[in-house]
This record gives sequence, C-alpha cells and structure tokens, in this order.
Amino acid sequence: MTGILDMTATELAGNIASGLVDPVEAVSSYLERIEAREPLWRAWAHIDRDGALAEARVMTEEARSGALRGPLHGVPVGIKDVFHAQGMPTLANSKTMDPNATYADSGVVAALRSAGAIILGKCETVEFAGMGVPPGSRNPWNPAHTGGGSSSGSGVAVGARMVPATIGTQTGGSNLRPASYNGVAGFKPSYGALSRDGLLPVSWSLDHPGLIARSAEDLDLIFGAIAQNPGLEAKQQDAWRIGVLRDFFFETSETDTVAVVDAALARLCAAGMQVDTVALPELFSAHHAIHHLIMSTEMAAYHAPRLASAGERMSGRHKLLVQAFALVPAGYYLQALRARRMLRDAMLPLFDAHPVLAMPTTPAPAPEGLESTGNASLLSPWSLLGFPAATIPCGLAENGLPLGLQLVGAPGTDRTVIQAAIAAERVLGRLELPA
Amino acid sequence: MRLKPPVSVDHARNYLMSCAELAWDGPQALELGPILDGIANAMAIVSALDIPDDIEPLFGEDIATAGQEPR
Repeated sequence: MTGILDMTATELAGNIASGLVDPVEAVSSYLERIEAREPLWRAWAHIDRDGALAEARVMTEEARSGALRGPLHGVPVGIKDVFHAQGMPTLANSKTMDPNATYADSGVVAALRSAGAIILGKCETVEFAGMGVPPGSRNPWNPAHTGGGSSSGSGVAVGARMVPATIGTQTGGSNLRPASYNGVAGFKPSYGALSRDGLLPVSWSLDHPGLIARSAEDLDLIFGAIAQNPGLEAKQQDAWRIGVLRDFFFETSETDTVAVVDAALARLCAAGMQVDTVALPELFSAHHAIHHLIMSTEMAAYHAPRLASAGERMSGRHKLLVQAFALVPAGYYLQALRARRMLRDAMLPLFDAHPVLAMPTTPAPAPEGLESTGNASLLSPWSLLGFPAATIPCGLAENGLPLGLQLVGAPGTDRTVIQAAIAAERVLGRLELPA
Repeated sequence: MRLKPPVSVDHARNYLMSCAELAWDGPQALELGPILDGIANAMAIVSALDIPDDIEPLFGEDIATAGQEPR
C-alpha cells in the first residue's frame, strides 16, 4: 500500500472506508509532516492539532463500526484563512482581524464536515486574499520561489504533502495559480457552485471558492461532496474535443511554457483527443480592464469601513489599494458590468463545438522571490466570466518548476471540465512531488 | 466623470488624481499614482467600448444562473 503522505484524497478515503487506514493514522501522519516541514514552507496560519486528533478518534470508531459520515470520512483538509471555521481564528494575514473572535462554520467548511472531512487547520493567504502582504509561503519545488497566491498556503500545503487537499479562493487567479506552481491539481467551479457564506470577500461578484488536491479525481470527489450547485451532469465524451486558445494565452506565455503545454497537447492528440485551435472574440482584449474596474470597486466598498476604523493596522500596500480603488466612478463600474455581459455572450459560442478549451495555466512557472505571488493574467478571464476552470500539471519548465494545463468550460459544466481533467491526467500522468 | 465621448488614459488619470487629492491628503494622493495609472488605463478601455442600449449589468447572481443550459 502507498504511504499515507503519498495517497491522493481519493485513495485515502477509499482506504479509510475499507479499513486499511484509520483517520487517527492519517491525521497523525500529516501532523508529523507539518511539524517537520512547516518552519521552511510556511503554509499554515493555524493548525488545530488537538481538535483534528479528537475528531479523528471519533471518526476511527465510526469507521470501524461502518458508520461513514460521507465520501470524505476521515480525510484531512486545509482551509484558506479567509473562510470561517468554528473553533479557529480567521486572520486573513491582517492585523485588523481579531484573533479572539469566534465564528460559525462557513458554508464550505460545514459542507466538508458533513461529508466527513477533518479540518486540519487554516492555510496562509495574501492579506485579505487580495494584493496586499504575501505570507511568505515557499515553493516546495524550490524554496527560493513563491508558492503562489493568494491561496499561498493552500497550494504549498498540498504540494509539500502536508495535507491531501485544501480549499482556496479565486477572484483573479488565486486558486489555480498556486495549484499549478506547486505541481498539483486545482479547480475553480462555476460562480456560485460552492458557497461563499462565511467567506471574507475580495469582490462579491468575482469571488470563487476553489479546490486544490493531488489529482483530478480528487477534485471530482470533493466537488461532488460539497457543491451547493453541482451544475449539469457531465456530458459523456467518446473522444474529447478540445479547443485550444492560441490567441493571447500562448502569445503572452514564455517560450518554455509554450513548449511544455504544446507537448502535452500533442500527447493528448496522440491518445485520441481532437485538438483544434479556436479564436477569441475581439472583445476579449478588454477583459483585464473590465475585471480591474469590477474588482477594485467591490474591494474598496467592502474595506471602506475597515479603512476608517483600523486603517493604521492595515499594511501600507493594502491601505493604498483601498484608497485608490475607492475613486472608480460609479458609471465605470456599471459600464464594466455591462461589458462583462457582452463578453460572456461573445465567449459562450466557443463551447458549441468544443466542451472544453485548453491553454497554459500561467505564462511562466513560479517567479523567484516571495514578494510577488506570480501572474494571474491567464486565469482572471474565467473568474470574470464565472466559467469553471481546472488545472493539472503538464510538465516542468527549464528551471525544474511545474507548469499547468488549464481546461475551461461553459458555466454549469463543472463536471464535464473535471472529467476532461481526469481524462487528460490519465494521459499525462501526475508529477512526483518533492520529498 | 463622463463615459462618452471616450476618455483618454491621461484624462482619466488627471480626474482620478484630482479626486485623490480631495478624498485623501495631498502627499498620500501622490503615493496612489501607480495604482491610479492602472485604473485610468482600464477606464479608457471600457470608455471606448460600444455597448448596445439593451445590455444590462451582469451582477453576481446573474452569473450564477446564466448560461447553464445543456450544450
């Protein structure tokens, strides 16, 4: 049997259900790993050691008596520290948050607990999941490089084998980017598919809770267990038809990213998938401007009271962002929301002949240093439009860091996107994570 | 701030900087400059779009329910 730290969430859940592993063994293994590696990787904002072990003991007895709570019974999970979880602080990497405040479970955490997951703790985040202070989470493939962000700890914790799965968020590129940078799988569902209840917002109409896990099958397992709106049934595919977006997504990527993703697409083609180039509508060129105006206005509105009451405890960077974003004229915000509808309508026909679109997840691997959490430009269009998007690792850049293949579907086709990711992962394989 | 005729990046930036000086104190407004540049650029792009009269804003709740017909 594979060692616990090397199991996917799906394998671990299966082994717990069949009695080969008990939840106490699983939680203890991951806690030992965290104790040994956390001082370097810095993935965790809070670890609920006692609570997780107590829960694991109860779940071990339940498993022995055949009373499984759900498909994730006994599987440890980490939560980005912008979701509330009962018994744990929510700090969002900000000194403005009260470490003694208590909260009820957020919708995602409640759904995970109902499915049997054990909440191991809270994962590090960029300040308020925005563009403020990064937490200093290091990339397990090379600690001189960022682990990505803003779901920094969520990506690093899975990539460093500290937990089999985590929950992140994505407003621009904050969930799939750390998944890709750490060589694991990630999924940003359709807007509204996962609950935002109890999530500190960046931007209400752009925020998406997301998943990070060891494999695409894990994404299927976890999404199926916690989605409040799972969308349409997966469309059965005899042979996957994949539309490749060469405009913008390949044009703005670095040479070795293009080479690695092209090689992956060639392997998918050789395995029987149909891979065609698809052109973007002209309006797509405005996507970044539309996203920027919507995100900045909503972020400023949410943080305005905090700026007034606790601005001196905000980081300088976050404070400046809130002050500047507050100046976007209302007419421009509304015009951006109208342009979003136009862009969504212009993009939907791309899925008529191809249920999924493919492109690089990021233009380059994780950058060196910890000040920047990387480039979100290939991810933010799908956050803007609310379309489901998955990433799976597809190879290594010349510097040895992971690169991802991004797969995107029409809204509501979450299960189809995940099934496409599973099919692609079977061809491309998974990366062996660093020791 | 007008939407039409389209505004230039410079026009939008000057508008934002004057707002910043009113909203926040002068020295602090200067620190906002690089962030205001990004907003001004986005305003110029969105201002230049031709949006038909019948297009309504796409709010979050609309995104959650729109476009989920089988395809």
